[in-house]
Amino acid sequence: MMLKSPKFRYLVPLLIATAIGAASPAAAQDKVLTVAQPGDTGLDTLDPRVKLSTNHQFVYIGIYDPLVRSVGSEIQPGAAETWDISDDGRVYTFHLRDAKWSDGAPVTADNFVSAFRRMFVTSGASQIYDDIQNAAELREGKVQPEDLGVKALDDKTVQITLKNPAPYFLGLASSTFASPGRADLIAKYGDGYGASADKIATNGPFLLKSWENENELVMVKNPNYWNADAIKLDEVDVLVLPDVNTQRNLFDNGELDLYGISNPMTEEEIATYDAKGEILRYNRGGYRGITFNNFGQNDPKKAAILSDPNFRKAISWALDRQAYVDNVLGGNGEPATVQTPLGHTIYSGTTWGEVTPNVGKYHPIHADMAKSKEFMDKVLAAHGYTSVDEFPEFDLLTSQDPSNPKLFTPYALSVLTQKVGLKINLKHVTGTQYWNEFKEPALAYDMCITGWGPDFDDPYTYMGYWVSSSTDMGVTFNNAEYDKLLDDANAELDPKKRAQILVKAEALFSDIGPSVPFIDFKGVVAVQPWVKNIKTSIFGVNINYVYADIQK
Amino acid sequence: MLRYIIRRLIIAVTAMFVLATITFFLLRLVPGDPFAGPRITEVIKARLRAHYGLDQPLIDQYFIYMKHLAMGDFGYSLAKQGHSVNEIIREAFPYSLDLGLRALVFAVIMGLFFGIVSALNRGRALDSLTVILVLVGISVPSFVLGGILQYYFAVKWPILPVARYESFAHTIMPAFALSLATMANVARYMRASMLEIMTADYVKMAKAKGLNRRQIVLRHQLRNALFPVLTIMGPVVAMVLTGSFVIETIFAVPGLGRHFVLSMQNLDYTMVMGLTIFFGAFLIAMNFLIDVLYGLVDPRIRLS
Amino acid sequence: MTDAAEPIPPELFVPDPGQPVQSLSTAEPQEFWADVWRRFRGNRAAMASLSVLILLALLAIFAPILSHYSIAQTDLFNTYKRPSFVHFFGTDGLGRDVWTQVWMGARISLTVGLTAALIQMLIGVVIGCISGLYGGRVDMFLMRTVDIMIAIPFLIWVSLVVIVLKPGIVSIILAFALTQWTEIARLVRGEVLKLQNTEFVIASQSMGAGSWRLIVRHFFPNILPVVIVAVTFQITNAIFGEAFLSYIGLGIQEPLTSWGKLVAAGVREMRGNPYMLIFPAIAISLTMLALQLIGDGLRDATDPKLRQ
Repeated sequence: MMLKSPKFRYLVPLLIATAIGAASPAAAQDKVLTVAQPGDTGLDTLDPRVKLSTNHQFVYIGIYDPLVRSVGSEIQPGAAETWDISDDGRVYTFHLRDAKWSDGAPVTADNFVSAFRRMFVTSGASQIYDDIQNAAELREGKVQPEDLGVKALDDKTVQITLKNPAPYFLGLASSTFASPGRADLIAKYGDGYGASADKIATNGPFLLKSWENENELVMVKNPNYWNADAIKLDEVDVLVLPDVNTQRNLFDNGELDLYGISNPMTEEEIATYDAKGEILRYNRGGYRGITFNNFGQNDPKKAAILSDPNFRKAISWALDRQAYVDNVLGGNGEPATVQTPLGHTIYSGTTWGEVTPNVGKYHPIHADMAKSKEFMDKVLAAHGYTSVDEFPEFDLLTSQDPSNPKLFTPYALSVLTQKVGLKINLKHVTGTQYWNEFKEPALAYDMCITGWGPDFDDPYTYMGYWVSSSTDMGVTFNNAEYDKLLDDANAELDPKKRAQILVKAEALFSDIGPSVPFIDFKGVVAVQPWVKNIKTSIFGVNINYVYADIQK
Repeated sequence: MLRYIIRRLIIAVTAMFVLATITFFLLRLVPGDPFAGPRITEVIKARLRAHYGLDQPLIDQYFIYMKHLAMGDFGYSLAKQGHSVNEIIREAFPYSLDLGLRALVFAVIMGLFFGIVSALNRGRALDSLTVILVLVGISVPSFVLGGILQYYFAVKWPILPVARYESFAHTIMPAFALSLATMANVARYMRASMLEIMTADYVKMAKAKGLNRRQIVLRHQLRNALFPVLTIMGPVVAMVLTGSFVIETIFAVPGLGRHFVLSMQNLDYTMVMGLTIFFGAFLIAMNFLIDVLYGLVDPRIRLS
Repeated sequence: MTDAAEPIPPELFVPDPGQPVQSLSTAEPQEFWADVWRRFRGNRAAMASLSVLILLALLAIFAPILSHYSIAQTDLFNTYKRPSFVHFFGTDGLGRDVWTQVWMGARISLTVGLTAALIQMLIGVVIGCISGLYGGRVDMFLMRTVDIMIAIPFLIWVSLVVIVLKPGIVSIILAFALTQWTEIARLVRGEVLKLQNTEFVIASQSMGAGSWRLIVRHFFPNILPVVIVAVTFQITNAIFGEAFLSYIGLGIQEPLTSWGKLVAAGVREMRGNPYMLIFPAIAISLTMLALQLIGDGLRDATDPKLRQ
């Protein structure tokens, strides 16, 4: 066993203290931002092609520079100085600036091309890049990596060809999933690449200074970054703090600069910090709701009931979204009655909320038990039952994900059993097990508490995975009309016309789709008064610390 | 003496082997795959399974694992890409060890003290008071106690640090919280065995001889009362030194305790195996040590 | 009595090997238990604890029946209400009555504790008796198995069982019962070994009494006190264990609730809605304290060496 027992008990804290000391403590006037990482376990690897969680992305945004960067709601230059988009909206040509990696190697087009190609081998993120030519085919192994629509025209030019115009593509290109990679180092270190500070190269606004996996990750300003003037912080400390109460206590003591990143805050916390003017509210994207399995776990009786749109409406009308938002979340949420949260941009200067007429039409803001009964009566009649008691027992799958809205699972359960009168078997499982049961081939659920977070700022990020070819949440929903509408939307260059097509698709889906949306998230985070210029984003990494400043 | 030690050693090694085998097969009972995730596809999962050798027949996997185990290699963690189980244990264990030792020392000293005090004052108010004081510490769930301690002593009255493990002051609250359970047990056992001995014949004889109370306590009672306390120390030491999930979570100590729970939830087979064997080895080593100590001190046991 | 003039040899001050021989109670069992009860009654702390436990048990049985709220009933217009005459312990985030939840939770926590402990007792006594009585290879095999079971970390065992059997009352009880009987088994085995060498047993055997008769008439009454004390402490372990499982998310599932679940949720609301933590925490802590004091009291009352 390669275990070295430490000599003795004073040695260890001494060693730890020296390690941190050796990592040279920031001088008193240095601007150090201390934050808690969003996840509850330490980071294992910083290779964007291997791990994708919010926890990982939070660090990627600091140490990598993708082609473009999303800052607030704008797309700004990143590794690419300029870019051109062809008239048909299908070809993006990025011109890289002169920049270096942390180990001195130049940033080249190949760094991006190899990263994209590798994504299709190792990463599930590849699914959101299906707009790229030959993407789906590459994932299925029908073509070679060289056929992918991402090419290096020369050392400093990256050209991406899409199969249909996608107005949100720059947002996709700004994602941390599309950070550049170092094929040479990956070949050299294999699995170990990215697993420790000495086996990785970075090109972003911050350099990786030290990294104790389960304890703390320290980034320092990269003096050679092309935009170093815009970076005000000298150091960012990302701490592993698994307990949310501990984070709060540290925040109250002034030792943590942001609070509320990893878990939702309680009303008391929000009220307390609001009173001190320390709350930052932002548009967050993302929703939670109930998804139905049209296949009913291969039980024809269940399948018949579950795929009946009236059944879903009966449930939807029994949920009281507004009361839940007001009284359980203390106002920190929005009732979701359509698939796309209303704050997303549909085309420049206009949000989805300003365009869609579907709000409240297919799913209500307030509960109405009378209407719910009406819908359920239709279901009973259509399938030959006299009462809900005759229904088979349904499996409701849910996970212990702390980002689920507070008490949603018990609320949903109580509505389904007490108000609608169903027999429910609750399967409340751990995160890993949840994904095992939820996805193909298991599909081991009848109803499931699910949701989605946006990958880019456009309604398509919520609608795309319900197409028939998707293997994601929408795998049990196959509707040709819906597919056609989305294809038409993708081909449409006029943003206003595109918006209308999407409105139609949303109406169709809200009417018959196997999903009952419940709550849209509202972003809220507590910020110390000396921290300035925290940027927020509706997708990807919600809290962007890169351009923050400290003024004590 | 040597034969005694060797015999114990052989039993210990066999036990480890059986432990590893049982755990290996038991773990495969758990349904599901450690690689599942929101975007992970079957293709990626298959690739990962092949990469970690999980697609081979179970028996082959077993022999490969045992072969590596014999060389002290626990393999790579399935959940923490790019890190070996040995490395993870090696980084986390010193924290748990340090915290555990502080807690243990404090627990034993205070436990012995409380046990003696309450035994010597049996039936009187001091006895009841001491007993209740010690028991209150273990009647409140540790995550409640930890949360309350942290709030009151680090935020309300900022005397101690909130969390993390950076200096002596940081170790005080977590070590205290961790020590309570052991302290209560030690106090209990000490009290019980002191009471037993207090009524033993040889003590009556010592009193008759004219030794005063203090001499009796120090010379006779303590030494003999310690034996039962030693017996329970084996498992207790192992448990304390491999970390407490709750304390490490609340006080953000990057020790081994958290891994015990998280590795199971992540279905990280190799990590679970590694932790089980590590813990088992520790436990068996502790018990072995105590057996040897017993054998050294009491010749009757070694000859049996 | 030795001559007072002779020097007393130092060997007389060395303690007896092993445990002093437990004096078999040769009196009728009823008298023995009457003695025990008398001594227990004299222990004020233990008696107070007993009354507290009885009170809690009565509340657990009757309070939910008498309350007009049910734990599954949510009321989104009455969330987070402070304690009042309408809701003695206030309401939680979904408007559920906390008083009802605490006493329904009591049912679950106490049931889990008792059942797990009783099953452990059954398994432990059987294995301990077999091990002690048959000795030899059987004993060695069983004790080695116990050693290995102890070597698997508790957290991993319990997580394993609960994940495989899906979280719920049954899996939690089984998780504890199947893994924590080892202490009782060892205890029982120890007692059986001691009893085997008493003159009374040898005499019975020489008179022709079979093993079963021995076990029932002589072993059980003498093992029982030790076992009961151990079981009392196992109940506390099980209750705490369930609380811990709730804390890590593997505990009792909706719509049922337990003290552990209430306390785990209450910790998060500690600063904003402290009543959600205080009431269930007091309930569980009082129960734990009471059980411990009762266990200590029972041990004092049944241990013949401590008779004064």
